[in-house]
Amino acid sequence: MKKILLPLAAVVLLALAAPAFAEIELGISWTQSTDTNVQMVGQTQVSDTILGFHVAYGWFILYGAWDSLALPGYMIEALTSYVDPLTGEPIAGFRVPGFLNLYDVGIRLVLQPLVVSATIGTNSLYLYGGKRFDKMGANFRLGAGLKFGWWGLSISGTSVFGSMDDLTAVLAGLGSTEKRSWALEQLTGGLVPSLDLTFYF
Amino acid sequence: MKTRKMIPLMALAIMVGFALSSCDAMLESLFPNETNKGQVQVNSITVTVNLDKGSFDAYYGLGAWQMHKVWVVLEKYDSVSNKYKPVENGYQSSYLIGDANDYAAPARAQFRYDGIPDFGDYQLWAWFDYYSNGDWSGNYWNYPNDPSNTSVTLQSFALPLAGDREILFDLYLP
Repeated sequence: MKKILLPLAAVVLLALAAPAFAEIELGISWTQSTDTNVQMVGQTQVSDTILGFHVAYGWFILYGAWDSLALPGYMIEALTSYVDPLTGEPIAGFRVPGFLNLYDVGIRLVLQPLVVSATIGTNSLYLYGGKRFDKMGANFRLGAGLKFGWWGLSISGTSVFGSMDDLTAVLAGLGSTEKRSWALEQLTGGLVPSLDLTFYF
Repeated sequence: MKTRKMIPLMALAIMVGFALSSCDAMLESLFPNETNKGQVQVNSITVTVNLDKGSFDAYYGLGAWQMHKVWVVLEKYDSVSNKYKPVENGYQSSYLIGDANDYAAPARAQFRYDGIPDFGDYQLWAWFDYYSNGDWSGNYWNYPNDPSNTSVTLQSFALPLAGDREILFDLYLP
């Protein structure tokens, strides 16, 4: 119980200390990604700049955000490939570009000029050409940056999971002595760093 | 209006524009190589068979950048089964010039067949598959027969009578 109450009390105190305000965020993010699986013939690896759009609403320390990332085909293929639980056979994903939409809630602390956020949420995919992929995934995001009045720059990391069950298992693993290192590796190993430019109003 | 107010409004306008625009159009502009089928273009597939050296040389040039496969197959007529069979005389019977994950072009490959006596007993296939919009589509060409896919224009075709025998497939996928 003490393990839960102490962090909870800290969060409440931070909430009380934070100025009472609400604001909307609009932003753009850049992520550099490289397809490491490409077998090239005398060529360099394929590298893409992933463009992201960001809309968020913050109230006290509570925070809700929608991010839409335009992903190249090989990343969509990785996200949509899975192993059939009934047959055990790997199911190949769609190799088309698409949008990964992240719908997150969490906390954001604004201690001017420092801004730190941690969110968790679900995500959906829009695939080029209207192809359907109905599985909902989950994600975990961490961000830290500087706010200069009406604009700010930050670095964020996103870990995307195939399902909410996967993410829950990882978060539960943080509380387990045996699984903590595995859970930390799952959370931090897959973090994709992004550079975010955000406007506040 | 102050600059401070204008920039968020401009950002908002971009966001609204993004939301209102077709998602596919946005993806096409961001990833043209992965979405634009119309840009798939093979400039040429050239296969040279040297009867004296027994060599077989194939290369191709791709005009656009897209995931694709290109390979050639040499087959010999088998009078027993009354079918053409891939040539297997200690060397590869076919050669994949560009593989499934290969965005790069042009590529060149060389491989050998020993003792090709007469092209009359052989036929040559050139295959081209491309990946677009989540699916593989393909076309193939066969010498000496006509191209099997009439939607593809075979623009030139050359076979010298002596020495190096060069078969040039000049292809364009509309």
